[in-house]
Amino acid sequence: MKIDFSINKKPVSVDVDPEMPLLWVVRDELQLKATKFGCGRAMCGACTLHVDGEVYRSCALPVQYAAGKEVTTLEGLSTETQIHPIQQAWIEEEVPQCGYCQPGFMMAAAKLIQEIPNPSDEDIKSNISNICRCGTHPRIIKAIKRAAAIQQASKI
Amino acid sequence: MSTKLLASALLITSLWVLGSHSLIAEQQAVPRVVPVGDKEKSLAAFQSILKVLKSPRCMNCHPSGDVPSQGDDQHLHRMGVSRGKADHGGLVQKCETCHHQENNLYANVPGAPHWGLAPRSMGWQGLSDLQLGKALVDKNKNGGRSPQDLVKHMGQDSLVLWAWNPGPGRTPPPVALPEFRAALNEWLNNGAHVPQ
Repeated sequence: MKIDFSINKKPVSVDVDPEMPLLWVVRDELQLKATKFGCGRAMCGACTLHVDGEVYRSCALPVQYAAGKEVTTLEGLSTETQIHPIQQAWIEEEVPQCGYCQPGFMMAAAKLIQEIPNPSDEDIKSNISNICRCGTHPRIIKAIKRAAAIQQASKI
Repeated sequence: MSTKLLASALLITSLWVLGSHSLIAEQQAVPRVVPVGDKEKSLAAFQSILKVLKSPRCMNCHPSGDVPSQGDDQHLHRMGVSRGKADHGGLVQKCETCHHQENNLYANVPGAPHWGLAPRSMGWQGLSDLQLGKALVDKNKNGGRSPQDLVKHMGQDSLVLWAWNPGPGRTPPPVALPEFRAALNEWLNNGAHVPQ
């Protein structure tokens, strides 16, 4: 079945099973490899991306739900001229260890600072349930707060 | 002697009048009271309805607190899921982050239209059978529904009907859907009684 949507602001058309998880369309059909397969059960969050600005676990999202919509992966978070505050903070706080789960965390975090511009520790813990088995959570919290500050400074 | 006779006559008359009044009151009350047999039918049907309401498929998303349950063992929903302001999750993670219009057999994530929690006022977890019955027909605790509205909701709503098609690893309610619908009609048509 032919399905049209936009990915990182570029229109694409794929001819796949409409039940195919968006994760595999993004990775194998569109060759965008930032989004990761973790548990395949919508639990760990490694596959997190945005559809029309909302957070989704793409391992559990049939591609048919993306039809006509705007999908954003980590590759599309920044613009050509401007790195996203989350990416900048992640670099400055040297967050990743093995790095595998980080794209999912960053997509969830980008949505978080959009919704809560100055998040507390509790805001971060209660709104992001992604899992990092390296245990980078303390650095992730610091990075999200730094990203929120960068975002606020950029608006002044 | 005549005084005693008069007193006896008055007593007998009074008793007869009182008895007549009770009889009249009883006769007048009959049309306003649902016949005992019908009420029993309604209450018996309600017991079938109750079995469904207490099923994990219904109870898991009618939490009395802010966290839904999941699974047949009704453990608290993992991934830090909570009610949020609109009963559909938080600002980042919403119900639809993972749950869509139908069951997802790849990830085994259940899904149905308008997946979400029942409002806090409709929390059922922890209630006794008696409390649950009263809450069900209390418009302050059932979303303002009349008994007719309740029967429509429970017999036709797509999210409620998902309970009988819950996907692998999730047990449907112990009453089959046709029997449940029949019990709803039986309950409603006989006065929509709940145990008091």
